Amino acid sequence: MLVLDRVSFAYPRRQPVLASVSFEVGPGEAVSLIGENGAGKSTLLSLLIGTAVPTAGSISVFGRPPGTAQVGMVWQKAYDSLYPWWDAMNNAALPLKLLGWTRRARRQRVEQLAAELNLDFPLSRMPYELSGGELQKLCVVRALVADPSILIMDEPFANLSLEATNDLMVHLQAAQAKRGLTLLIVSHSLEHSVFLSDTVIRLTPKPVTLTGEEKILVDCPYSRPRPLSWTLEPTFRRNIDRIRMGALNP
Amino acid sequence: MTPIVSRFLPPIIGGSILLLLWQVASLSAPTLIPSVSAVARATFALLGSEQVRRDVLATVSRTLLAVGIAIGAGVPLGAIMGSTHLFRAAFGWLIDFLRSIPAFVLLPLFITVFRSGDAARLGMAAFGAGIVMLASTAFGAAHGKPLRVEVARVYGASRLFRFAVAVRGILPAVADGVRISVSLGLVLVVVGEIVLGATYGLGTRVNDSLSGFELDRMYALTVIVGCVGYALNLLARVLTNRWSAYGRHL
Repeated sequence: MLVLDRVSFAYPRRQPVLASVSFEVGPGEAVSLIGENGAGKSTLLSLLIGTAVPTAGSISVFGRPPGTAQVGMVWQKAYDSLYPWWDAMNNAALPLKLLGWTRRARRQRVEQLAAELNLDFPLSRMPYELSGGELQKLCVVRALVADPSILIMDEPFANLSLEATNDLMVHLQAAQAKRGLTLLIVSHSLEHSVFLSDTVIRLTPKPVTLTGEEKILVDCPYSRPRPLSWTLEPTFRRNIDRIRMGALNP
Repeated sequence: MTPIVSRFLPPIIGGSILLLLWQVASLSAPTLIPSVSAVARATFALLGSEQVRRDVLATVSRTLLAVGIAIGAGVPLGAIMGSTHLFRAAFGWLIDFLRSIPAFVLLPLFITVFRSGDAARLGMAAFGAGIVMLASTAFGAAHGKPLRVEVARVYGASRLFRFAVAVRGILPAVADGVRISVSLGLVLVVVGEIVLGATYGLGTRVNDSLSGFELDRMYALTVIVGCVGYALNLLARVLTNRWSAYGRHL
């Protein structure tokens, strides 16, 4: 379980970004954090992966402090997060390499996951030979390759075409359903958040204050993995309208 | 046209045109420009002589030593300057200032400081090549992607691995610097040999030929200096090619 308890954060000599943020994400739950640009979403993620330290409060990622837990992370800038001196196979296998897996075991594991996520390009390709959608999928493979307890994604669809977005959403959902994976997505797209999540948390204006009561339950008639056709149904639209109305009447 | 023909035919045609122009020029001013055949004969004769072989060895050794010093001093300093904001703010202007000074202008200063022709010549070449290495490395470090180091950290990489990731990001810029430094180093070493003299060295031999007004020999030595420069550049390119392959895609 991911637990944030009255977490605050401020960059040196600046206004606080997070004032008191509390919420929980249960095992297997998919939660989206939505908010405008500069709302503090990326700061929150930095705290969760341990690259920044809260000025107050505490964070527990499946019982461990951030930075020590087994976390899978997909960054918004997919290309910048990959190593251009390695091919796709080596990039995807990075977490396993750091865990000391043998080359053969790494290769087997990456190939298995690549097939599952329908990576339709040779793993011998270099990152600069891949399209935006392929890069993002490669990052998802890298994030899942070591079987993390939680997958955190920062604006995973920000630079993707509609086709690439739909393809990634479908395969991501399938992978999540298969593993019972906990998912935390940061996005400013309400559509993607509703489709992928069980609950949506809308960040308040800065400094962000959350008590844990802000979670909006997504009402979906389908079990996971949800069909893409759901996005065309009135029930999908109703969820979006409900969250939008909440934004207008906080 | 086959790939081999299309690759080699244009330089052969270009070279032939240049030789033809040279031959025509030599016919119009034979006292200043010796014929192509005379220079070719002189070149082959010089290449067979023990003295010129020692000259080549001396010039190449001095160049490699100067470039070695330039890399040893320029790369660490450039890496610190490029990656440390405070250092860059304090001394960034110094790079622009120093690279505006022609290294040759500093020769009297080096003679005063080192009180030895050999050391002064080496100092001048190392300074010129070092500024290139410093500027190139600082640029690479300043434009590196810190996210790649963060990725390694999130997936549990050791400090050493993270350092290696940061270094890999700078290597293409270092490779560019090495290639430019080798050419510049050779130019400055030869200039130093011409001005300060030396027992062995291509610059010394060029100067001797000029004093004796042996034009065939002087032109032949110039061709040999060009060939040495070309070979050194090719060597630098081969040695750094692996780093540069991904340099265009950082």
